[in-house]
Amino acid sequence: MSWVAIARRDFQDARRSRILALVVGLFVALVGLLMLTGSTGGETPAEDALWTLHGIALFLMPIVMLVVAYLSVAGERETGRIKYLLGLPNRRWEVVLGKFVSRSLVAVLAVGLSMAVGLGIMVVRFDTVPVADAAGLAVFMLFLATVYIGLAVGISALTATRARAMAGAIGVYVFFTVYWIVPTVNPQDSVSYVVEELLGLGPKENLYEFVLLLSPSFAYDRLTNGLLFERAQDGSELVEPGAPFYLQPEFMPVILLGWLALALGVGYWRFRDAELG
Amino acid sequence: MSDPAVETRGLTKRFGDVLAVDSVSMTVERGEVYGFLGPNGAGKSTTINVLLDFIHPSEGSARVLGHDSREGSLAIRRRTGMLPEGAELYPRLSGQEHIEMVADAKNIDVDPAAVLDRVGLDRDDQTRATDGYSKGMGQRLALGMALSGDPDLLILDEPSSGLDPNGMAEMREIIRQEAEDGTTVFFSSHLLGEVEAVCDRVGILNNGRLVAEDTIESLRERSGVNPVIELECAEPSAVDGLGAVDGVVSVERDGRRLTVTCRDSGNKITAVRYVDEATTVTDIVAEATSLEALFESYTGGDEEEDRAGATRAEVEG
Repeated sequence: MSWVAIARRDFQDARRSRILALVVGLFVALVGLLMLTGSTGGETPAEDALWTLHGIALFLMPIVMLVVAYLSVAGERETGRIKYLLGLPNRRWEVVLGKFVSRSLVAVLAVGLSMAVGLGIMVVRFDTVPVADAAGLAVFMLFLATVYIGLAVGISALTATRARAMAGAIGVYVFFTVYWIVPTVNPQDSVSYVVEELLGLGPKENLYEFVLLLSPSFAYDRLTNGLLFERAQDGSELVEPGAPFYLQPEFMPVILLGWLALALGVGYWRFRDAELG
Repeated sequence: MSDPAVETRGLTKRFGDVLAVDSVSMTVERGEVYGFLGPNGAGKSTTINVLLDFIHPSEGSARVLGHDSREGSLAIRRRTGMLPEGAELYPRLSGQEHIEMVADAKNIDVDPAAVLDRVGLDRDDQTRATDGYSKGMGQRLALGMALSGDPDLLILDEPSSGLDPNGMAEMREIIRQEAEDGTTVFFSSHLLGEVEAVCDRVGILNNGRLVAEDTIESLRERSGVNPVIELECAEPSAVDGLGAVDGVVSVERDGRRLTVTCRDSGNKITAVRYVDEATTVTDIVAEATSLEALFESYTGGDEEEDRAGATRAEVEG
């Protein structure tokens, strides 16, 4: 099981390089600040604070986790250290898996510790504390984090230099979170243009909605809103009654796991036969 | 154990249009110390990268310890210790932790301190992070990583780079010890002197082609770089017909000094005896064939090749 040794050593490096402290500190500060400053008025003040956190995590988590993991494999290649790793009897999938596990552990600690701190503050400030919701949000945020870490590790395994890995990571962020909501050219509108204007078919609302949910960020959003908060970010009703299964919150883990598997799979598949000059 | 340690057959590697390694066929026997020699850019690292499956052959194949470099890579790497060229160390891991990394991957017990003592890394340095290491210290650590776990084969890519002369001597001593232990050592260098001191055999690579593969002694004989002896004598003009003596290639006279170029080292004494018959020899200067000249005759540019060619022509004529 040499992927365990690779993960352990990589995690040790994350500790010593202070990446771990930085990311944990960022999340503890964010969650702490939200819980400290959240309004104590309204019907469900604690849930409101969690909901605000969810909205921030939606955009912050992807970029932080891409930064945490984008150099995981490409950095080893750029420095030539990959020759130590692979001059030893380590398999290439063990390198990819070890890096993914190690960087995911950074996310586990960041989310776990920050939510623990957040819960502590909530207990002091709010009358009722939705422990189940907080725990659920922690799990779902972690889910989102590992998907983006998987995307970053996958991209990292596809690239041989820091510059390219960085370009890839930024590209993923821009694609899934910015491009997804740009008016008129976003994937939803693009698909509707093809269906209605080019093919001359009737509107396919379910398809457009599914396209929106293909971004891991939006899949996470529906998952969390649907199962925890039962409200959408804009306050409108979440899922139309009678919507097909692939639009339901319960289906979102399939999309998220699909991206995780695709990213790690393609990354490994290319890395397996890559030339390490 | 009968398989050669390293065996390449028609090994060719192209990077786009660049032919980095050009149908190299070489054999490194078990227990041998093999010097892989050539100028920078000759294709040495590329060949080594193929042996460890970092890159893949365009044509031909490589077998290491009886395993194909592609299919059997994991088995190869279990029994091989490698020192890569130009790879950075993990800046935040200590020297001993680097050795532990090797022990973990190979699933063996290694005493990191003992290994690093052997390669001459101070105890204080062993336990601190490598980002403060000098290049020489890094190279010693890298050698220690290669030696960990007593591999059957050591593949060392430019092991002496960054080492001072003292460090180079220590490294050669370690290579000798390993060889006595039965370990096969395959190491590359662009420094001929270093290779000559420890190798049983050398292969010389130039522009991707294996231009020579033999013992240093045989290479010297075959290279066309002829041994030269200088004789100072009382009456050079009394020496006649030396040029016609079998084994003498050419004679130059400069005052009281005769410079005699011989076909091989054994002819030197013939020349001395011949001159001694005719006149009194007052001084003899005999130098071993310059290894640099030997190396250049294989790897040098056109100019050197012409010179080597001219020398050979002279021999034949």
